[in-house]
Amino acid sequence: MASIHIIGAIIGEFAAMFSAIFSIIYLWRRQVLKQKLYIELNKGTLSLDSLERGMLFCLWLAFISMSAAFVLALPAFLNTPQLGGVILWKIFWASMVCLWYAAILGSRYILGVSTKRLALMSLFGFLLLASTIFGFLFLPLFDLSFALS
Amino acid sequence: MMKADLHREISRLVCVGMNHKSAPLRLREKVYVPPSELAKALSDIQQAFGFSECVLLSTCNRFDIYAVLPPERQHDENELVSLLYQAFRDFHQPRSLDVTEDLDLHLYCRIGHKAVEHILGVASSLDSLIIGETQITSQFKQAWQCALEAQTLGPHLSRLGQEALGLAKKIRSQTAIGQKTVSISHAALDLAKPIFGDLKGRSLMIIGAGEMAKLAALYAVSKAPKELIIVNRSLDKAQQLISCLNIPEGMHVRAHAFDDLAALLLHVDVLVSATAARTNVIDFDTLAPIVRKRKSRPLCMVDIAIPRDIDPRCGELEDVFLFDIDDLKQLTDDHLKEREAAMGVAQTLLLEKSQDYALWLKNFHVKPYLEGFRLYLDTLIHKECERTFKKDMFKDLKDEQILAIDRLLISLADKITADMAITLKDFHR
Repeated sequence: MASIHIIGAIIGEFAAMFSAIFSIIYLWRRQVLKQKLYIELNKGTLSLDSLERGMLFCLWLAFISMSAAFVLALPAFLNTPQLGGVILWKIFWASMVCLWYAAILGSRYILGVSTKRLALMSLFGFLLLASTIFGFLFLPLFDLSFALS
Repeated sequence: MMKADLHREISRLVCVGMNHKSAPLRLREKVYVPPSELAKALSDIQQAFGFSECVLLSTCNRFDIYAVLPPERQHDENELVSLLYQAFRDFHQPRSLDVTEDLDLHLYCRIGHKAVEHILGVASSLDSLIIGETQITSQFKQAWQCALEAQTLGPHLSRLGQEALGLAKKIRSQTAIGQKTVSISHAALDLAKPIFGDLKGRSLMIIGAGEMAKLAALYAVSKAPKELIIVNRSLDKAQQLISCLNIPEGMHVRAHAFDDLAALLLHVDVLVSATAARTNVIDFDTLAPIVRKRKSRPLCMVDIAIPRDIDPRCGELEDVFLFDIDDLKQLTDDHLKEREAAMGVAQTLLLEKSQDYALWLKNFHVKPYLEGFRLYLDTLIHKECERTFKKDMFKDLKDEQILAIDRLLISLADKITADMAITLKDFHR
């Protein structure tokens, strides 16, 4: 179970990273197009449409993988004898990440937000992941209280 | 004709105008004269400025006045430039040109040989926004035809027009410039590439049914989109345009009237507008609610009309990518690189043609002398024959013999005139 959780988390985080990369390229190319700097744009090969599709694919993959990893690990977390501290923070953080990615996809498919906003939301999601060094901050290695005990 | 005479003669040919290199689109659309008003504009300008000959070339990328000054008008170059700028301003002032604009900064003036080279370059598309585009040659032909009908065309510009069209044909057939057919309409659709990549599976809309729209439609069909919609004020014309297209299987092509435009804008991906409308066809207030309803689907709009069909503020809307004819300049760099080698050859051909025209101009003035000389010879032959055949010794001559002598004398006169023409031309050379 733990290995599936780890694999799911790694796939999800990589997908989130790629969606962030697609988002940055999308925002840059969109800006270039709006400013009509065609020559600059011609150097690239990916169209805005391809970038958007790539971004959406990565967002779906990130959401599914990270949610699966979270759901699979949740019973184990809840059964931890010393539930509290870092574990609770990790559950809170993981649920926030999953909810954020669900919100991104929901806003796209239900509310129809623009791809520009989608890209910005995807970047925020990536920052959420990066803020905890992709969850490594919750590992015992980083847990000072665990180390002291 | 001596060298100084030739210089004076060729200096009578002038050109004043503005093009995509010298002026922005907002100014060019103000000076644009639609084909229906060209004939009147030609006679107005000729009467107002007393040009001997005059041609107006008004396209989406340029407005040029080509003129021949009367021989009696002598100006130094600076004076002539100011006079021509003034003529340009005076011509456009009643036609809604903003007088507060410093127009002189955006005008160019060519005199003599430079004007010849400019006209030759324009006709053969060497001075075009997209080098080698084919449309300018037909627009050039139309301008000359219009001047002919308005009776403002004389021998100088008529000859130059012929030379220019000959050069355009030669460059197209002998250099790589003509290898790949390109036009503004083609480039317009290429602008959608960075947004959608391939146009397959996309919905395309073309507003207008004129020449530009037709070229865009022909190119669009080759890109095999899912759907092609032609919108025009006259539905018949839109349907006529569709009948000219070779539509591949599985592609939907339909014609619509202007009334359906708002509904159609809800689902199209790429729009090319090329109408002759004098006002905006799509304004900001119409498009803004449509874009909201499209739910973030990008819309690429390319406005290749002069004056512009789409309100420039539409480009500020989220997910709307609006391009106008000036944005196509960016594409020309790529075309220039492809055609750099061919440009060298084309320039050489242009200079040769320019020299040919100068030579014609020299000979043009020899022609009346030669014609006069020939007339004198003919009269002389006629008189002498009449006098000679009256004599008794020729009374017995048969008709065939008299005819043979006549032919001999005429052929002799031909030879003398031809030799004289060659001598005169060699002398000028």
